[in-house]
Amino acid sequence: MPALLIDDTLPALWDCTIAPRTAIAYTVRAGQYIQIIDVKGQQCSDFLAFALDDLTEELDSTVTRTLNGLAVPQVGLHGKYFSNKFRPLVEVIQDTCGKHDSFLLACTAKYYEDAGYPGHPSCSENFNLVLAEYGIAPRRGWSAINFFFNTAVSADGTVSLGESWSRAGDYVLLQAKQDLLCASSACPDDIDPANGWKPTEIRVRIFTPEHHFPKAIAYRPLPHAPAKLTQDSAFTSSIRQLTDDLAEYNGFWVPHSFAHLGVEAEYWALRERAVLIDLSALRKFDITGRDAFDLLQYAFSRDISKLAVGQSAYGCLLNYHGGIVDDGIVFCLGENTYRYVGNCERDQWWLEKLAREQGWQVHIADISDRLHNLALQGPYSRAILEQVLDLDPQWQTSLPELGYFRFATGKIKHIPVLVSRTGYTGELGYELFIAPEYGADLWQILTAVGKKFGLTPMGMLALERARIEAGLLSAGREFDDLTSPYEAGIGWTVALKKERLIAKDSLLKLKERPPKLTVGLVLESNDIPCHCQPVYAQGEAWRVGVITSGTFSPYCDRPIALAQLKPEYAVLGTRVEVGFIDGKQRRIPATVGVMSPYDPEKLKVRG
Amino acid sequence: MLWDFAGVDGLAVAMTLFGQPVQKLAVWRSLVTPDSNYAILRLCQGNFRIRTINNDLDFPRKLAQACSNQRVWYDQLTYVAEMSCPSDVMLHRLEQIALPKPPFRLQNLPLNAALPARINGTAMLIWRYFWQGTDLVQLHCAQGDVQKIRVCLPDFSTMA
Repeated sequence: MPALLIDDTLPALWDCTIAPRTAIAYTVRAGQYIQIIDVKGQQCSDFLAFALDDLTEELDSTVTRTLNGLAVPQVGLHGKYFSNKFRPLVEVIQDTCGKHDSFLLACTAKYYEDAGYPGHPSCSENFNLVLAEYGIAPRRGWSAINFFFNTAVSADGTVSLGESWSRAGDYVLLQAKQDLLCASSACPDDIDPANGWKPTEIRVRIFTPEHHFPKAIAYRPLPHAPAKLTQDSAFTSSIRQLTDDLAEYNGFWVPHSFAHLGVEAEYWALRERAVLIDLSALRKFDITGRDAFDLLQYAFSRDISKLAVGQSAYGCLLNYHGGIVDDGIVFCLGENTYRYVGNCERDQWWLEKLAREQGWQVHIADISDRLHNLALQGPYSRAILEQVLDLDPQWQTSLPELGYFRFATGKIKHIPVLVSRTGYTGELGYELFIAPEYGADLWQILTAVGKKFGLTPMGMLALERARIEAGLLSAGREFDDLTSPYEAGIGWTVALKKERLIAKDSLLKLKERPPKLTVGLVLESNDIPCHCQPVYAQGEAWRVGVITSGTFSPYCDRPIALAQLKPEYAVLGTRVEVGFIDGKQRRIPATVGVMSPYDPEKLKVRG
Repeated sequence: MLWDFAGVDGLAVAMTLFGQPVQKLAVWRSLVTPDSNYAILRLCQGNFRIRTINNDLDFPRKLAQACSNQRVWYDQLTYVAEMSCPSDVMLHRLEQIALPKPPFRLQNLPLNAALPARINGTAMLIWRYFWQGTDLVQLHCAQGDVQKIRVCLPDFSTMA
C-alpha cells in the first residue's frame, strides 16, 4: 500500500512555511513535485501557476473544468490543471483532502470591504505583492485554484462555503508539467468559516522528479481512522498493460474499460463468452470465536444456521433501525468460522461494536490485504476453469457439481485458490480468491487458457450495465443506511423467523408497509435514464418515485432502470412516466417490471 | 463518401440500416457490412459515421427514410476531410508522431478501431478498417488542416 507523504525523512529540494495571512511566489522545473500541506487543518491555500517562459500563459480554472468535465481535477485520468492555452501546467498526483474550489476568486479586498472590514488582507492583494517582482501586473481578484476551500453549488445555483474538510497534515501533491512560476497563499480569511475563523500556516515542499510518487487519493474508512492511499490490487499491473482508463474505487485503482475493446464489446463478451473482472476492492473479514455464529445470526439478514461448510449466502448487515449497513456474502468455513465479503472496511467496526454490546466472544480479522479476488464470469467460465483448476479432494466435488453459492478450495496450477460459485453479472460464473502475490500469475494463466474461448477483461462500466440488467444492487444507488432490505428489493434476504435479529421489530413494520419498493422499468424510447431522475404517475404532475440506476440494455434493446416507487405504483405492468430534461418537457412512458429483465428466473447463474 | 447521423435514436437508425450487428458495436469501433459496401463507425451512444462506396447513389434515400420521424440529424460533413493510406505503410509512422487523447492507445491498433489524436497540435480521427480489399488507415481532419497533415504524412491521399 502506498505511504502517505507526511514525514520529514524524505529530503525536499525546498521547504517553506507560509506565515498565516501571507503568500509566496516560487519557481519549479518540469517534473518536480509541489506538496502543499495544511499544517494545522482547516486552512485554505490558493494557488496560481504561470508558464515560466511566457508569463501570459497561466492556470485557467474554466479551461480546466471544461477539459476535464469535472469541477475540480481528480487524481487519475482527469487530474491535470490546464492553462489558458489549453496546455497542462500541473497534475495532481496525490490528494488527501478531496475537497477544493475552482469556481471562486482568491479572496479579494472587495469581499472584506463589503463585509465591513476595509483594509483586511486578502489572498489577491498578497499575490499582487509577491508577483510584482516578476513583472506581473496586479489584479483586483485572481482566478485561482483554492485548495482545501470547501464550496458547493446547490441546485438553485447558490454557491455556499463552509469549514474546510482538511485535517492537520492533509496535502495535495502536484507535478509540474513544465517550468513554472507558482504562487501559494495561506488564506487570511477570518470572517467566515473558510479557515475555521482562525488562519494558520501552509507548508510548501518541492521534491525532485526522481521520487516517482504513485498516484493516489486518501480515504478514511472511519471518521477518526488514519487516512489510506489508493492501492493497486494483485491484478492491476496486468490490467495497466491493457488500459489507461483507471479510476479510484473504494480505495483501489480499477479499470473503467479496456483499450481497443470498449463497454459494448466487454458487455457482449460477458453475455456470450467469458470475462475477467478485478473485484479486489471488496473487503474480506474472517469471523471466528465461540460466538461467531450468534453474531452473524444477529447482524446479518439471512439465517446462517442453514449454511453447511462450503456454502455461502447473500444478504446484508443491518443497523438498529433496519437500514442496510452493507450488502455481502457470508461463507461458512467451519463451526463458528465464517468469512464475510462485503464493500466497507467499517463493517469490522460495526460487527465488533455489536459483539461488545452483546458480550459475545468473537475475533474479527480484516484479511482484505491478504485476499484479492478475480471474477471469471460468462457462459464459458466453467469450461475455462475446468482446464486449470484442481479442487482439493476433501470437498468431494468437481467443478461442474459445485452449486450456486457453494465454494471449495483447490489449485490453479501452483496457485492456492478459493473458488466461489458467485458473481455480480447475472451470468454463470466464479469468483477466485487468492493471495496477492499470485495475482500476475493467475491473470496470465487464465488469459492464456481463455484465449480460445474468447475470454476478455471487463471494466466497471460494462459491469454496471450487466448488474442493472440482472437487478443486482449497488451501494449508494439502491441502498444506504436509511434504506431497509424491503425497500431495496432484497426483502427475501431477511429471515424474520430467526430468534434474534437486529432491528426485528422495525423490520416487521417495514415489511408490512415499506415506504417504497424497488422495481425494474423498461422505457418506451431511446432516452437513457440516470440516477435521481423523477418518476411520475401517468399524466400527473406529482412524483411516485425516483430512478436509482439506469442504462441502455443491449439484451432488451431498450433503456432500462431500477427505480424506487411508492408501493401503490410498484405493481407489475403499471405504467408510469420518467421525467427527462427538466422533468417536465419530456415524459417517457415506462412499464413496471421485475428488477431483473435479464434471466429473471436466474437460470443462467444456477445452470 | 462519408455520412454522419447522431441523436437519441441514432442506434435505432443504425440498426434499421445495417441490422442487429450494429447493436454490439462499441464506441470508437467499427464494422464493415458483409457486402463490403458500408463501413460503420460508432462515435458515441447514438452517433455514427458511415463510409459508403462511391457509386452508392441510393444510400442518401435509404438514410433519409430511416431517419424520418426519428430524433436524429444526418448530413455529409463538409468541414471534414478524409485521407487514406494502407496500414502497413502508415500505422508505424502514426505511432511515432501522433499523440492519442488519453486513455486511447495507438499502439497495436486493431482493425475496426478508431481514436482521436493530434499531430503537432492538429486534431484528427484515426480509423483502421478493411475496405475494398485493403487494410486501411483513414484520417478524418478539418478541411483546413489537410495541407498541414500532408506535410507530416505525404503518403496519405485525400479522398474527399
